[in-house]
Amino acid sequence: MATTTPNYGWDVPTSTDYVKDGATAIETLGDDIDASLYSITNGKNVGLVPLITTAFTTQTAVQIDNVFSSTYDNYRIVFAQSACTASNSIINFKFVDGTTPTSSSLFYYGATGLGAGASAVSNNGSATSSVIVNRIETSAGDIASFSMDVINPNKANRTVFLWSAYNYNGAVTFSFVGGGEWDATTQFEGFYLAPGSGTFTGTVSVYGYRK
Amino acid sequence: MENETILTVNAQTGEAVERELTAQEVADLEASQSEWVAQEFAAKAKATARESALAKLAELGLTAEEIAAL
Repeated sequence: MATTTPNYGWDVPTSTDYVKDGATAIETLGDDIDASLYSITNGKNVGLVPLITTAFTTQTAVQIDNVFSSTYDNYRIVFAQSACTASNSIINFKFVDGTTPTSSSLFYYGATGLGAGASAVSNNGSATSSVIVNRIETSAGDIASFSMDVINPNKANRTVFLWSAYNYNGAVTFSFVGGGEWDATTQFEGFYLAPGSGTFTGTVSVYGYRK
Repeated sequence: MENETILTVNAQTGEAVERELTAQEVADLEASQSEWVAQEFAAKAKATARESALAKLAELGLTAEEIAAL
């Protein structure tokens, strides 16, 4: 006597069912699985595809190459800092064109948020050579993390990026939401991160959005 | 002084290469830090001036609602 699975209710045979009905039972189960997956994905390839995760220790800068390509249009970068040696500093972000971080002053961006005591804080730039994606307050136990969506970095168009960031040093918090663009049609293949001073330790991951 | 190194990772091959920063790369980082410190100093000075101005307006007899309406 057929029964169903506990979560999605797929039809499955029981141990007392006839073996001669096995082919039909497999077909029924296959149809159920097919219908469930289609209802979840709408028939599309969906979700984030992990491309790389790199842990690094006491680096002045980190560069991820060959990560943006024509395989995906959009990407998610997740950066988690676990330690740093800087105080009153920043984390800089740049794109990589070929094998070299960009040096032209073509970034336009703005980020706003709240700091200690709910005071308003902002990071912004017009025609800058890098983007300040987070702050570093003190070196002791500083956690400065962010996630960023990068839109069409490998296409010949102006690349847009949207990010949110959080910083906590054990006493003071800062949180930001920001967006910006590279004001040229450069096709990028990677990106670069560096604290304004000192070194940092952490992990950076990149995911591709399935088309 | 710490070694100023950059770790470059190739996402396709997984190859990781560490090298020392060039003088230009170090100068770029120092410039970004200096620029940010200057921006922060200016922002804090502006905030301090605003607080001072608000206090003076209050001393003149303006209510909080009137100050907010300016």
